[in-house]
Amino acid sequence: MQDAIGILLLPALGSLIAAVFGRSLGRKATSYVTVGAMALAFVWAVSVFLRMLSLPPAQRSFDPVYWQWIKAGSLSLHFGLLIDPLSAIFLLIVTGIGFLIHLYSIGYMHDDANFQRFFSYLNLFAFAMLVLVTADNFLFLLVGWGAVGLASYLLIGFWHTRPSAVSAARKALVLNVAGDVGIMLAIFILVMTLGRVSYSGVFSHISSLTSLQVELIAFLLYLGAAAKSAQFPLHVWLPDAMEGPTPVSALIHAATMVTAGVYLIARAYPIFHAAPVAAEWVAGIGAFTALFAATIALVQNDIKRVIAYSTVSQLGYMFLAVGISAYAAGIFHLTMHAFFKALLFLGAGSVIHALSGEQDMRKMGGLKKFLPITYWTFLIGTAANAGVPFFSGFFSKDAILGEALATGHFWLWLVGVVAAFFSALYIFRLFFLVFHGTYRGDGHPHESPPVMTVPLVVLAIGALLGGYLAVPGAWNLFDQWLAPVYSRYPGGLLPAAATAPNWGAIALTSVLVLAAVWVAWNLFGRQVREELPEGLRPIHKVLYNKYYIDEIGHAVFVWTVDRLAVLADLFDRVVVDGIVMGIAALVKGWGEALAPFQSGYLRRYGLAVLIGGVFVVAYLTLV
Amino acid sequence: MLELLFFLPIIGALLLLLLPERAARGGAFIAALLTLAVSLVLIPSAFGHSGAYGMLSSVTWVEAWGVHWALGLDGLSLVLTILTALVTAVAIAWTPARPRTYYVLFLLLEAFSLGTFLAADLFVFYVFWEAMIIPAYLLIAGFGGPRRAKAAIKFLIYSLAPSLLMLVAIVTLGYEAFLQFGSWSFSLPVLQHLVLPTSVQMWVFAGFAIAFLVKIPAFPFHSWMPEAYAESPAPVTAMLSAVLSKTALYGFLRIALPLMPVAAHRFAPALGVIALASILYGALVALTQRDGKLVIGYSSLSHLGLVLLGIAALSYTGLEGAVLQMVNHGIYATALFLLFGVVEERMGTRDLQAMGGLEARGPILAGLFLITVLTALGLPGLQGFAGEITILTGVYLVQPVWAWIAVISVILAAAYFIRLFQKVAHGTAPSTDQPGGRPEIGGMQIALVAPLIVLMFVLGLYPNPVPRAVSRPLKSVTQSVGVAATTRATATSEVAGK
Repeated sequence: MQDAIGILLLPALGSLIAAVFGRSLGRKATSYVTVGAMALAFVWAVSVFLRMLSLPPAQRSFDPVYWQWIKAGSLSLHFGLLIDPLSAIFLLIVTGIGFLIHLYSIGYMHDDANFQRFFSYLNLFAFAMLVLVTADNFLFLLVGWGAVGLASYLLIGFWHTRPSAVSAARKALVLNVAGDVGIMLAIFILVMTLGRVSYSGVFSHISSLTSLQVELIAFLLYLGAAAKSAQFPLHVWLPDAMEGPTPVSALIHAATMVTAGVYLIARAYPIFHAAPVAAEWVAGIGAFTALFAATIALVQNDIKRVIAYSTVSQLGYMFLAVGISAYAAGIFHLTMHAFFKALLFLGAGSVIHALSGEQDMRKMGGLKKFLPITYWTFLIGTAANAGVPFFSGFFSKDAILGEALATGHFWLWLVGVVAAFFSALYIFRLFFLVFHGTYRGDGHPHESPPVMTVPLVVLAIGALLGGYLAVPGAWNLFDQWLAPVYSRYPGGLLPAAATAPNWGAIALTSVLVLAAVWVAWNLFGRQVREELPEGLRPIHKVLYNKYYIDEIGHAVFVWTVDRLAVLADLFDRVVVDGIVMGIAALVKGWGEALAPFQSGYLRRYGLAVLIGGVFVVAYLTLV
Repeated sequence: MLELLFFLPIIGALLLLLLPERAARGGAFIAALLTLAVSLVLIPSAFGHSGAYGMLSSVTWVEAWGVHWALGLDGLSLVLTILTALVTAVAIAWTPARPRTYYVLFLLLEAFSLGTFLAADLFVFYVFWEAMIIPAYLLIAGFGGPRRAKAAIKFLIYSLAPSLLMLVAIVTLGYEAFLQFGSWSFSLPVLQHLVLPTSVQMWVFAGFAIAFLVKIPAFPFHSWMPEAYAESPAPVTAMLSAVLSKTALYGFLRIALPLMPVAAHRFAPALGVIALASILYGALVALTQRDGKLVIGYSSLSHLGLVLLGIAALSYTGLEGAVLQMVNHGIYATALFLLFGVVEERMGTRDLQAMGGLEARGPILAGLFLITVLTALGLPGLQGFAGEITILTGVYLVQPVWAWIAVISVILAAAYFIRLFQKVAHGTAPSTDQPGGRPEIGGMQIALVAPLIVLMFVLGLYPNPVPRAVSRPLKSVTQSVGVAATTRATATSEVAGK
C-alpha cells in the first residue's frame, strides 16, 4: 500500500498545474487536468479498496512511512500514512463524490472569469482532505486540518468582490483556526505526557494517562472537531459558507470538511472510550445540535440556507453516534449523508442555475415541469434526508437512534426522534416550495446541461440504494468492514444488544417522518401559506434569526477582542511611546546641557561612551 | 574562508565606489550572490571539527587587552549566516536603481551582521554589533519616507543606549577572565570556563539582555520599531526584521545563556513574561493598524516574542524550535515586507482602508502575497507552522501555562493576517492606483522572491535539516545552562510510535 500516496499527490499536482499554468492551458485543458486528477485518484482509491478487500480482515491496516519530518528534542516525527478500512471509506468518499462535484462544476462555473483558479482550489481542497484522513499521527492530521480550513477559506471567499463572501470566508477561517488550536493543545499534552503523537503510539499507551488528562485531551480534540463539523455553538460559520459557489457548498457539506470532525472522533475512539465525560458531552451536544439546527431550517427562505442548517442537524446525529461509541453507525450515516447532501446541494445548484442565481424559495415553485431530472433526483435526496422508509437516510439514521436506545441513552434518543420529525418537515417544505405549486418568479427556467445532471443521477442512485449496505436484522456490511479497526483497541465495539434492531423504535420514527411529510404537503405542497398565525410569529422570528447565536457570539468575542486591540493600540501610542519620547527628550536636554557646543548624534554617542566608560572604571575599582 | 565570507561584502562595497552609478545595483547583487555562494560552500566545514566550532580562525588583535580577531562557524552560526546572505541577496536587488550609497551601505550592513553571527570573541561581537547600527541608521535617514528623520534618531538612541550596558557587561567578563586565568580574554570558548558568582552573573546577564531585548524588539522596548519599520524602504525593513532582530536572539543563545547559566535560570521567568507580553500585545496591536506595513511590523513583534519564549523556556526542544523559527521568520518576514512594498508602490498608499482589488488586477502578486501570509500565520504544512509547534511543544514541556497563553496568538494571527490580505486583495482598487500602470509584479522580482517561496514549502514539508544542523551547538548550550530543565523532555523522548 506504499503507493497510496499517489491518491494524495494527484489532486496536489492538479491544483499546482491549474494554479501555475491555468492561464496558458485555457479552460478546457485545465478542467481535464483537475477533473482527470480526481477521476484517477478515485480509480486508485477503488484499487486500494479492492486490494484491501482481498486480504483477511486482520491484515487490512497499512502504515507506510515516507520520510522523517522533524526531529527536534523530544518531538520526533515521520511522514507516514495510515491506510485501513476507516481511511479507505474516506478515500472513496472524498475522491468519488469529489469527482462528481468537480465534473458538475465544469457546467456550473462555465461562465466564471476565474474558472482555472476555481479548479485549482477544488483540487487543493480534495488534497487537504485526503491528507487529513490518511495521516498516521495527530500532527499530520493537523496539517490536513489546517489545509482544509485554508481551502474552504479560498473557496467560500471565491467571489471576492462580494463583501458578504469575504466576511463569510474570514469567519470560517477564524473559527476553524480556533478549532485547530484545540487540536494543537491536545498534541502538546500528548507530547508532554506520552512523548508520542502517532495514533498507534498514543492509542496503545492511553492507560498510562490519568483520567483527567484523557478527558482534557478528548475535550480539546472535540473542540477541533466541533469547529470543523459545525457543532453548536461553533456552527455559525457553516450556513454563511454558502456564500461560495454552490459546488463548493456541496464539497464542504458532503465530501470534505465537515465530516472531518466525525472522522477525528471515530479515529480517536480509544481516547473517547477512556474519557466517558467527554464522550457523553459529544453525544449530548450532538443531539442538541440535531434538533436545534432542524428547527432553524424550518423557517429559512434561502434554499441553500435550509440545506446548510440541514447539514448542521445531520452532523448532530453523527456526533450523537460517535459520542455513544456507535462508530460504525456514525460512519454509515456520514457516508449516506455524503450522497444525499451532495445531491441536494448540486440539485439546489441546478435550480439556482436555472433561475439565473435566484436563491429565495418564495420566488420559486412549480419547477417540476421545467427541471424534470433535477426534480426526480432531488426527490430521492429529499426522501433520504427526511429518512423516509427504504431510502438511505432511513437506514443510517435509524441505526444511530436504535443504538442510542439500546445503550440506554433514552433522552438522546427522544431528542433524535423529535429532530427526525423536523428534518422531514423542513426538507419537504423546501421540496414542495421549490418544485410544486405554481412558479412565482419571473424568469425562464431551463434544465441544466448533462455535465451537471449526470452527477445528480449517479448521486441519486447512491442515495436510493446505499442504505442497503446495512439492513436491520439482515446484514450490516459497514459493521463488518470496520470491525478490524474497532477491535484493535478497547472501546470500539458495542455490546451485542445494541446491534439488534428495535422494530418498535423504527416503526415509531417511520410514522413520525411520514406524518411530517403529510404536514408539509398540507402546508406547502397544495398551496403556500403566506400568513402565519399570530401566536407563532415570535417563535418564527427567533427561529428565522437563528436564535441570535451570531449576534451573541459577535457581541461577546468580536467586540471584546476589538476593544482590547484598540486599548493596546492606544497604550502603544500614548504610554510606551510617550515614556520613551519623554526619556529621549530628557536625554536630549541633558546632552545639550552637558555639551552645549556640540550637536549631532555621533557626538552624543561619544558622550555616552564616555559616561559608560566612567561606569566601567567605577565598577572595576569598586569591586 | 571565514574571512572571505565576511570581507566579500566589504570588498564589494569598496568596488562599488569604482563602478559607474548605473552598474551599482548589478554589482551589489553579484557581491551578495557571491557571499551567498561562499556561505553555502562552507556548509560542510561547519560540522567538520570536533571542537566547539566546526571552523575557527583566530588572530591576536590587541594583545594587551587579550582581544582576538576570532571568527567561528558552527551549525548555529551557519544557518543564520546563510539566512543573512540569502535575505541580503533578495532584498538588495529588489527595488529599481537607487543611488550608489544605498548599495554600499546595504553591503556594509550585511558584512557587519555576518560579523556578529560569526564572532567567536566578545569584543569582535561588540564591534560588529555597534558597527551594524551605522549603515542601518544611514539607510533609514537617507532613503526613508517623509518622517525618516525622527524614525532614524529613535532607532539610533535605542540602539546605542543599551549597547553601553552591554559594553560594561563585556568588559566585566574580560576582567573576570583576568582575575581567574591571569590574563584578559574575550574569547567565547575561554569564557566558557569562567566560574562567576551569582551576583556578577545577574548584572552581566541583565546588561546583555536589555541590549538584546531592544534590538529584537520585545515589549516594552519596541517603540523604535513602528517608525523605523514604517519609514524605511521595504528592503531595509526586511533587513531590520529578518536579520538584525536575529543578531539579538542569537546573542541570547551564543552569549547570555551559556556564559551566565545561573542568571539565565533566575531571569527565565522574567524573560518568559516579556515574551508573552510581546506575543499578545503585538498580536492585538496588529489587529488595529491601518498601515499595512505596521500590521507586518507588529506581527513580527508577536512572532519574535514566541521565539524568545522558546529560549526562555530553557528546554532543548524550545531552543531548537526557536532557531527553526528564527530561520522561518527571516524568510517569510522578508517576503512579507518586500511584497507589501510592491503593493504599496502600485497602489500609492499603505492605508489598508484605501487599498484593495489586488486579486483582480495583479493575480500573481496577490497569489505570492497570499502564500506568504499563510506561511506567516502558521498554516500547517507551510514553514511557519513547524517552528511554531516545536517552540510551543518545547515550552509546554516545562511551562504549560506559558504555552496555553501563547497559543491564543495563533488565533489572533489568523485574524490580523487574513484582515491584511483581504484589505489588500479584495474589494475595489483604490483611487490612488496608477490607472495606466502595471499592478502586477515584475518578472525580475518574481525570480528574486521565488527562492523564498520555495523555501516556505520545502522547510514546511521537511524542516528537519535546520534542527539537525544546530543540534550540537544547542546541546552545548543546554549543557552549560544545566540539564535540569530538560530532564522531563528527555524522559519522554521517543521516536513517535515507530
